[in-house]
Amino acid sequence: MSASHLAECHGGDIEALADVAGDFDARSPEESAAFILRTWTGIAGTVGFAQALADAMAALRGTRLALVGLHAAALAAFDRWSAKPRRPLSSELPAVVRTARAKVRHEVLLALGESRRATLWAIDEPAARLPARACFERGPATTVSGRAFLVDAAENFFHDNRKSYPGDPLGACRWETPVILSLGTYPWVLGSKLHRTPPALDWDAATPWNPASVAMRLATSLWQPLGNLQQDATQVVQQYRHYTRAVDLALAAVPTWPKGQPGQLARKGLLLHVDHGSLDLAGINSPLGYLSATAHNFIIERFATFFAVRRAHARVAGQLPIELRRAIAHNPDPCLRRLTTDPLARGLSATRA
Amino acid sequence: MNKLVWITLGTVAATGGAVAGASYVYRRKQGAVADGPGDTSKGEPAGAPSADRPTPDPAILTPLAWDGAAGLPTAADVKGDLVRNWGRTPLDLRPLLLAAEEASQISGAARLLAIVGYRESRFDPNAHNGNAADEQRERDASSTAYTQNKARNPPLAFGEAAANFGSGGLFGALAPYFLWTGVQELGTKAPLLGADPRIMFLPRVATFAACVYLARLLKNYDVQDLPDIKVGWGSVSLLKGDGRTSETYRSIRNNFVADAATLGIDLADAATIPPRLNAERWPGVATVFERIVGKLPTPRAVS
Repeated sequence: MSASHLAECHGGDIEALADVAGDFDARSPEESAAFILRTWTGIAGTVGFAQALADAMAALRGTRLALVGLHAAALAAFDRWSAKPRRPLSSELPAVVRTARAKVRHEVLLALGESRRATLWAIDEPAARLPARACFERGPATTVSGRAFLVDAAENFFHDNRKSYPGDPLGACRWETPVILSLGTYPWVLGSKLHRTPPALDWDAATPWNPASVAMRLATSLWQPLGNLQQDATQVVQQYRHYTRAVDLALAAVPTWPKGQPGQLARKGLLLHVDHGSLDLAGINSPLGYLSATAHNFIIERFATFFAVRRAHARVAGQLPIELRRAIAHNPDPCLRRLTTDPLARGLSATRA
Repeated sequence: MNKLVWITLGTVAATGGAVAGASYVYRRKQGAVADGPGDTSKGEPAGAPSADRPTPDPAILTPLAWDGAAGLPTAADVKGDLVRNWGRTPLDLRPLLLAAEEASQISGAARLLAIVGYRESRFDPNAHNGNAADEQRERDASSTAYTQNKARNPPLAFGEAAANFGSGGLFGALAPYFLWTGVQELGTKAPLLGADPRIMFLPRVATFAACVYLARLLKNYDVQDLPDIKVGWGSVSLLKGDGRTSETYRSIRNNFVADAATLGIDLADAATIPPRLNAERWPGVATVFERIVGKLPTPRAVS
């Protein structure tokens, strides 16, 4: 049952996708820690805080937190790194406006983390239902819209054209579409902006607000046991299949490794590869926009990691702590729910609900 | 962008010839405007084919795959800072540049080579000046380099191919001088004498050669500050005598500073790039080769 949970519930392509991230025994603290470290190392290398992560991991080595404290230490490393400006801030935007924007972004993300645990991977929410209606006070600044996030409703790598539903409440600050964010692939949260530099790293911090930090916590919670088991996998499957369809069209002319020339972009399994060259410089222009090779690999790895964690925990569902069995019992995905018939888990969660 | 030429730092006769080729981006965008002191075709019309000069050998344009070529180093392979003062240098090339600094023991080499690589290739390891019909001038430069120096250097297994190659790689080296890298220290045991010039498209090999050139420049010439390194990269003659009064000297320096600013590398950040580099701790060509390249890859034709 458990070994083929992904194949049974979602299909062979999802099982193969999970293999990109590898497998581990969720009951083993050592294997779980190794998986977490490997995942964080990949994220940090791509996003740019490898040094901060390495320092944080070095500080943990030899302590009693070495196995269980990895994730928290990595998050703290990202917090510190992301709070520092990585580019000169535009003088056209007053600090008070920048702070107002950071605050709204921060609060919107926190609210989504509380209220959308099952659909956190891909946020698609009327702005009017979000804190401050996802608008910030822009004051005298005329170079910003007042919307806390970029509009990303047109067809792109992550979704088809999106418009507000007829019954959706109207948004303020000219939100005419839902707020759409792919938090599962943070910091590449917009399917129309898959350049090498991820747009959501530019979510400036303004003490005490740090939306990038909140977003990273939410995104990485999706491959932590509890967050993973709370997320509806069918949403992630849909997102993945849309993405791969779009990418297949964009990469139609890209050779499959080992065909192709050294130094040029090639497809290698689900990932992109450049022999003896910089993947950071490679990418494809497509009708849906530019697709950075590095961004593509990062996105695929995020999908793969989600399903690898799901597979590892589904395999031992009956032996998981009550909190995780409760998450399984309340997951919207019936294919996951069937893994637990534990009345205690169902009862407790019902009491909490 | 200038027609920048490395001086013969990689040859036995380090007397002032051209080592590096024109900037890849410049050539692709501008055609040819002769302005470098080592430019042997100065005065010829842009892109005009030279009489009695060979056209590129079609074989040399065939891409090669390589057996035994290590991939790019990763963050785990180096000790230095991969975050501070790199500007927009691609993340996945930073470990290679840091590996160069650590192998050569030239503090500041990583950021300096990033600025050089930005100008010479825009970080494209496959940058090649000399493979297009209108790049005869670049082939002329490599041909002259080969003809004038082959008698006083160890033989190259692919000498004629190098002569017709032009320049390329991450740091825009002229093929013959690239293949003669290290002959001053190692003579006939220099590691690239038997190599196909297309090996310069391997970033590790290109970086090894750049380290050797940088060390020789610092050890043998009056390099007074960071921009002087880029001047010497173009022509050491500009670092001597009246060279410093020339317009070319000034423009190369200006371009270097502008490149650093565009890339986002702060030349005043002494912790990552000291105001004056030195090669006093240079461990030797063989050691640097071992640390950056290891075993020389062997070519394999691509179908």
